[in-house]
Amino acid sequence: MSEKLHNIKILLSEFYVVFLLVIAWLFFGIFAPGFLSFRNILGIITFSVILLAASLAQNVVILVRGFDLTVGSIISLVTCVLSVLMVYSVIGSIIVAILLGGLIGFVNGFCTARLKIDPFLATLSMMFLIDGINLTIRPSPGGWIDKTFADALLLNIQGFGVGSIIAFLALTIFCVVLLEERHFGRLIYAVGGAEDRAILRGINTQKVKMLAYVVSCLLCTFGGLYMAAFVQIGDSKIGLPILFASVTAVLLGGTSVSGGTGRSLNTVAATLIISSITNFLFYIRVIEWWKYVFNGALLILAASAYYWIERRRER
Amino acid sequence: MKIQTIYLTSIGAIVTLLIISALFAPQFLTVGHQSSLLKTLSVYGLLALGQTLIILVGGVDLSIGADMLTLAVFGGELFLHTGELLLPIIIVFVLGALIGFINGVGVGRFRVPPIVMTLGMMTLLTGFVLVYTGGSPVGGAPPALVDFVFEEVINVPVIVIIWIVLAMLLWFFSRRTTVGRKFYAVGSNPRASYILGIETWKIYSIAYTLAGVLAAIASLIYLGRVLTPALSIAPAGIGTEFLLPSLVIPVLGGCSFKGGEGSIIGALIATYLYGMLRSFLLVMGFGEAGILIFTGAILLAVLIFQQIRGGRLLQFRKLFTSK
Repeated sequence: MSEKLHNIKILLSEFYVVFLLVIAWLFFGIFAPGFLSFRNILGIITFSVILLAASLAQNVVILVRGFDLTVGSIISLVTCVLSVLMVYSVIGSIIVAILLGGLIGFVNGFCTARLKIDPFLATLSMMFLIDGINLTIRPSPGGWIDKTFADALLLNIQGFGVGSIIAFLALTIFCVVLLEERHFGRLIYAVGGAEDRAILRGINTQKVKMLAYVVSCLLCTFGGLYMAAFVQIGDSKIGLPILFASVTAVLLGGTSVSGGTGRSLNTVAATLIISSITNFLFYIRVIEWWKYVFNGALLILAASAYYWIERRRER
Repeated sequence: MKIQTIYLTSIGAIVTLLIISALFAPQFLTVGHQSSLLKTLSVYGLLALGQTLIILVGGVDLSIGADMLTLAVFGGELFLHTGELLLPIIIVFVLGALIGFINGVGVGRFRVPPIVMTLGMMTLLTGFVLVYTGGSPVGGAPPALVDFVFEEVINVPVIVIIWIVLAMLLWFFSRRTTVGRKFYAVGSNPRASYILGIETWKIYSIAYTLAGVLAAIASLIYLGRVLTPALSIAPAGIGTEFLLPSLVIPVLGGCSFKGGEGSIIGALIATYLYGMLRSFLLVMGFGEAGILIFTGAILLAVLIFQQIRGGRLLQFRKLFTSK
């Protein structure tokens, strides 16, 4: 019995954000009848797929003590590239977008892992560069996204975005398996947790870091494809809110900026919390802008509590 | 030694830009243009000074732009509704210091990573401003403030004088006072400073509070210049257009994000360099896109240069060959 209790305790401390999500949903359900309906929850999941891709991308990078400010810009870049090139070839434009995503990931990784530039600054300058390119190829929102491409990604059946829900689950499973079941994930936690020891173990830390950035940027590209399918135009500024939201989600999910600790499932739950707050405010007919107050307060309180407890434990 | 190289590089870049602009756009070097450039820069410059102080102690402040805009909005409202001059100014200063202090306590006392703490603060302030204003421009600057902001002493705008005097004071503070020296100590090694008996959380609080006060001054100048602060509702948060330059400028001025390296004077020179570059590109007909690309490329080049200079010059070939 006590062993069982112990297991539950471990589960609680490991996945406390998931429990936070359950509590938040119950709370919202009490105040807004209809919030907890099947349709509404599926709606929340449908619309958080882009944020989820960006948050999981940010999570991978933060796990290796990095930081990625380009997540938003890549999403904008994908919508811009698709909206310009889709006239010529649908498949071709998708391939170009994925290649560009990979290339940006490689450059980010090269600057931070090989040249050892501070990740915040390296990705900040990359963000400027990509935003500049976005504005050049699409000065104002517009362009054309193929309808069949959007339908194929979203797969709307009776008002349910089945495609996005499948993508949501696929992203979750992909990241959990990649980071917690595969060798690559072990390496990421090793490099993020104690880089010098990882080097002594003979791990090629630079390669792991570079791969982490490439994986992150490819995840963002995936998010960008969904963004293009959702809005059906190219917009050079559409990704900026995603950037800050993704950082909020990852940090709310308890991933430490000093690297090596954090679970993907917590990031997924934190993403859902953020989307749920927006949805809840819509439900109770409060101005949408309260969500900033909620998100900010939640982030500060959660982080203060988390690091306060952490410090107590160290003593 | 190291810092002087940065000065020389920045000054060299400024001189080069001045010569190029003299050749291509002579109107660039007139007193009128320079003074209007400096006036625009003073807001960015004050924010960059605050950011530099924070980077010196090893932190970063993402809320500085939102902080400034929030104070400008609420200050404007107070001016408009109370009709007084001194009281709102005092409130703005106190609020700025308070926001900075909360950031500092969160970072120093609760050990929240600076990025987390200040991102939360930025989101929170964005929320307050948007809920209060509903997204439309509100508030207004009193005539006395506007007159003061546009005042000139022998062709030099008063706000530029305030900016430079404050920069000099901060430079003296950071180089010649005990507390200022502790900024460098805490920035380069917080653990060792703590063991040596420096109360690190106080140093963090002082740095963030000073940045908050600088943001308050910047907000008053901004309010006087634009009369009614416009909120570009990038749904990310207000004030990002002020935040990003405030991050770029200290780096151009030789600050290291690891903390404990860099100087106020470097940031001051870099502010002018940044402004020159930006307005030069505008004069040469590059749009917003071109400016972004140039900023990114130059920032990346400076960062790579700093890495090479830091003793890695000989290893540069290895970067492309070794594991």
